[in-house]
Amino acid sequence: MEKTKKPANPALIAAVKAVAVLVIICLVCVILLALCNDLLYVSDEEKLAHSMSKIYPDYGEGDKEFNETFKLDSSNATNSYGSVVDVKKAADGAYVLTAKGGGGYKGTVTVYLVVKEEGEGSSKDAKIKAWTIKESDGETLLANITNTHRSTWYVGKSITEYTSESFSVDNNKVSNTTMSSKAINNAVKAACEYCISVLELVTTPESEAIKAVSALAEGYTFTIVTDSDGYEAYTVGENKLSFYLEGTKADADTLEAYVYGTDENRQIVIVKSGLTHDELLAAEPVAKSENATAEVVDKVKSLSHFEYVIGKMHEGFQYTGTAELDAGLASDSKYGTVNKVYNGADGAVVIEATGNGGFESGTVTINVVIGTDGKVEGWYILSSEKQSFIDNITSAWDTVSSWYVGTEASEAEIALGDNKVNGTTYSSTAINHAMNMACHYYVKCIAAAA
Amino acid sequence: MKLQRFKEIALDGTVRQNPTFRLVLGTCPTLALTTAAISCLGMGAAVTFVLICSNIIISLLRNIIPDKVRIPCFIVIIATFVTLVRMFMEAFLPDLYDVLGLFLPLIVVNCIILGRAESFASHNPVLDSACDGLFMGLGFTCAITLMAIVREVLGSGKLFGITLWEGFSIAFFANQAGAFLTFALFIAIFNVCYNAVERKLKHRAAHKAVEAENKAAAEEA
Amino acid sequence: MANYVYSSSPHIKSPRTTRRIMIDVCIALLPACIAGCILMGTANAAYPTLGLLAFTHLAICCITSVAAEWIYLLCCKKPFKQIIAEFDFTSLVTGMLIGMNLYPTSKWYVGIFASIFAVIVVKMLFGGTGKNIVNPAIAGRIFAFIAFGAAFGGAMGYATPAGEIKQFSSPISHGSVTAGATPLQVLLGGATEATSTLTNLDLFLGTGVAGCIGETCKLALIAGGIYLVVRGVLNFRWPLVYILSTGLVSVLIAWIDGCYNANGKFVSALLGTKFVDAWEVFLPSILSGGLMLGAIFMATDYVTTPNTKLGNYIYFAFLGILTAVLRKAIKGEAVSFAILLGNILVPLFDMYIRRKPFGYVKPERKRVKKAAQEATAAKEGE
Repeated sequence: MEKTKKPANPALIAAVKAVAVLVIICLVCVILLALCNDLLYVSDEEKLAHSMSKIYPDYGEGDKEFNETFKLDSSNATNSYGSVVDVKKAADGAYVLTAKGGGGYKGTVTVYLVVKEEGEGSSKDAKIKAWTIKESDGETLLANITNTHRSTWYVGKSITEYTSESFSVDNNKVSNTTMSSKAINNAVKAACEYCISVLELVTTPESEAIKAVSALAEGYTFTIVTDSDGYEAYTVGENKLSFYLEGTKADADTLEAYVYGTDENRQIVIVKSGLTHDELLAAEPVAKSENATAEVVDKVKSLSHFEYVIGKMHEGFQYTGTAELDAGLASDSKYGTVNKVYNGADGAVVIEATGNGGFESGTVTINVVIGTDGKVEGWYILSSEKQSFIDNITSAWDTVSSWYVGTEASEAEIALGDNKVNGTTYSSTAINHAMNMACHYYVKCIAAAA
Repeated sequence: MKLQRFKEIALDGTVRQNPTFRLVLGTCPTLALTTAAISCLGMGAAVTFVLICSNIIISLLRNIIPDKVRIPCFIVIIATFVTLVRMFMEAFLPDLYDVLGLFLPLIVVNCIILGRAESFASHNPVLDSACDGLFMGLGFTCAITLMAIVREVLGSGKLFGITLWEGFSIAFFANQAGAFLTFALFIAIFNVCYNAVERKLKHRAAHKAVEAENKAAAEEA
Repeated sequence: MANYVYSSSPHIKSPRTTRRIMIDVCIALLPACIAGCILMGTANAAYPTLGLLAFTHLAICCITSVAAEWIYLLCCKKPFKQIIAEFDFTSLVTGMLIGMNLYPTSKWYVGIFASIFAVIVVKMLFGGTGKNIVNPAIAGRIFAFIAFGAAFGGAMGYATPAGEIKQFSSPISHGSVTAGATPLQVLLGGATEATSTLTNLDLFLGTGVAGCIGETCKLALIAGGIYLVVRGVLNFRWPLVYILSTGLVSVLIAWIDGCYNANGKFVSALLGTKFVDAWEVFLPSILSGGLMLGAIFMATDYVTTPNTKLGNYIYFAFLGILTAVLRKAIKGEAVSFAILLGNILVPLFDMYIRRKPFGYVKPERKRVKKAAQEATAAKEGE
């Protein structure tokens, strides 16, 4: 018996042949491309050199090595506008930053920015010399941004102007390419902010103050709460308060820093935040500058920032400590919650209350000052949640601050009445609820206990 | 290869089957890139290069690639060459690379290249295919550059980047709507001229044939 | 041998030709043109030549349109004598309308290009008189707006939330425009003190109103419209429907808008009071912008309106709604865009709203009749 060979299935052979051919072609192409990629790869340095040759010929041979002075500070490289990816120095001392800005049509745009310092001492400034686009993440119409724009936008401006009109997108954009222009704008602003805050190419009084204060307190990040407007109470003789800063650090107490004077005459006193009046008087400042006079230190110790703020509504307020909250009475689903009660030496209290019923079901948190006679003496907004129109209230603070002042805390229900800002009804309602919450708690717990 | 065949391919590529004005293929770069003449020259050069190379390879492999997988194979080959062009441009012509931007990778799906691969390169010998690629590319380049010159001059007052005059520009032509209108007008004018020339040539050929007949008849008589 | 005219029935002899109708339209446009030139001339003492400029624009546009049509026909190898003999004044009307749509401060070449585009591209390329896809004057105006932006001078203004009027120029040019805010922009956006002192009478007569040459004096436009109605050229219903629906929808929009408080929440309690307030918007919205000119002369073009009565009612109401909504959305003049969109949709109207054929009887009746006949026949047969 002969074994008959099964006739090979022609369709199967054809299919196998087809797939095989395709796979072989793919492999050959892949190998070819890999080879060429190695040969023709363009590194970042080459891209930078090429761009610089067009916009900033003085880039030259320069000091292009990274060194400690201007290595990219990656922890501070990202800010609200974008992020700085790279920093280099050109031969003539100009800085070349590579910054990425978001908000583009499909993604981000990366630009090179050349910043050069000018002037000495008090007239020291840093100007933008040139900029160009390095690459983008999917932007299709970047060709619309031509060399004309490269030589007119931002060039010659000081980096301190990055928050001003001259840097706004409306002045620096091309129609049909608005979003890419926005991304470029963000990138340039990010680079400017990096220059000011990290490289410290230009000093503003604010940045100097922050620098001086940070030097005294290790590891703390300080932000300026306010400048000297309205802080006459802190004046000691010739010395006026310039800045009040708050410093935070992970897993540590918050600090308050008082900066008197400017430049060389700067006196700094740093104390812990949240101390009662007596504790503050007793304790030594956490840190102080060497030239801080005894009078200045005493002034700071005798008037904490909290006491100062409350003191404007209830004269002579001295903070003696926080009271324990009665958990049951501290929250009311109709109005909100009471978060803290601060006691004053003379029996006045400050109640921090959060009121519900705000815009989009958000809340507003306020501090209410209730005097010894059981009347509301003042209040102010601490924070809010989801209240997009709260600015309408804060901008009308002159009138708003007189709401509820003089109301008896014992009133059963404090009506909204006229205590609202047109167009901000919900936020006003939330404030009203917080006020009610504070007063009711006062009546039920504090006055009852007294 | 015979001169007659060469002439035929050349005329086909540039005039008779001009990919932009007669076949209306590859309209995407035509409409989008014709705002500046320089970028058109660059795009045309890139497309020509890819056309020639892919035509050659596909013609070489035309007997090996089975019918069922021919489209994926063509696309892989075309994509390889486009990537090569892109890498080359990025390394040696970065300005042009920036201008062409996203349209360089889009050459892969440019109908001209796939269309010629499918209809010409896969049935014809290598030299013919190469010539076809060359002349198709030339036809495409000339077409879009012509359009770009008109659109650039009218739309922004520049020619190849050099500002000719200030102030006056009909922004409509730099716009997308103007792209369509210019394209349509060019197709119309091109075809009108083409038809007129063809009619004349036919007329002349017919006239010659009639004369020849008459001569033959006269000689017989 | 005499020249016989051979044509199919119906054979109706009438003095009403295209040429006569178009001449009537030209005459109807004259009051508005003259009023426009005079008003522009006397509007601002600082610019005494505006009136002359306005007249120049009108002249240039008319001459260019007619010349464009003739040159096109010459290129089509038509003998010049025949062109003159067959000249039907449609291009003259187009030219006048485009001229009336320009601003006195527009550059001189804007009218030329707009006319050439309108006549050649929109009308002649599609087949000449009676075959234009959209109204040529509207297309010309929009072309001028897109192509020239600042040079056209007709910046589309919009109001920022803070209430300032900002002008944006054409999508292409980055020039800044310094036209004054038109009353429409005042109406839509909240405006500077200077332009909000216009009363409705001012709007009606066009005194002191910034705007295009032909669209400011509503009185003249209405006079022209009445002339056309009397001559039987214009059906008075259509512009009326258009204008009224624009006014009504503007009122509706203002009403609903008024009920949103600043937080963005809809307060139904305000519905009553705001309803009364909203009616204040009715007259200004009708009298502002190019609505009158568009409604009376441009939207009612025979070629670009539906064929049926019902279709026309719906079409013009639709135009009115579209104008009001677009005005709210882009906070600028929307009549030209609304008419353009409407024109493009007209074939759709014609497809679904059909005329009744002559002698048409509904089939159901026939069926019922047939069934009745069969019933009787069956009965008789039994």
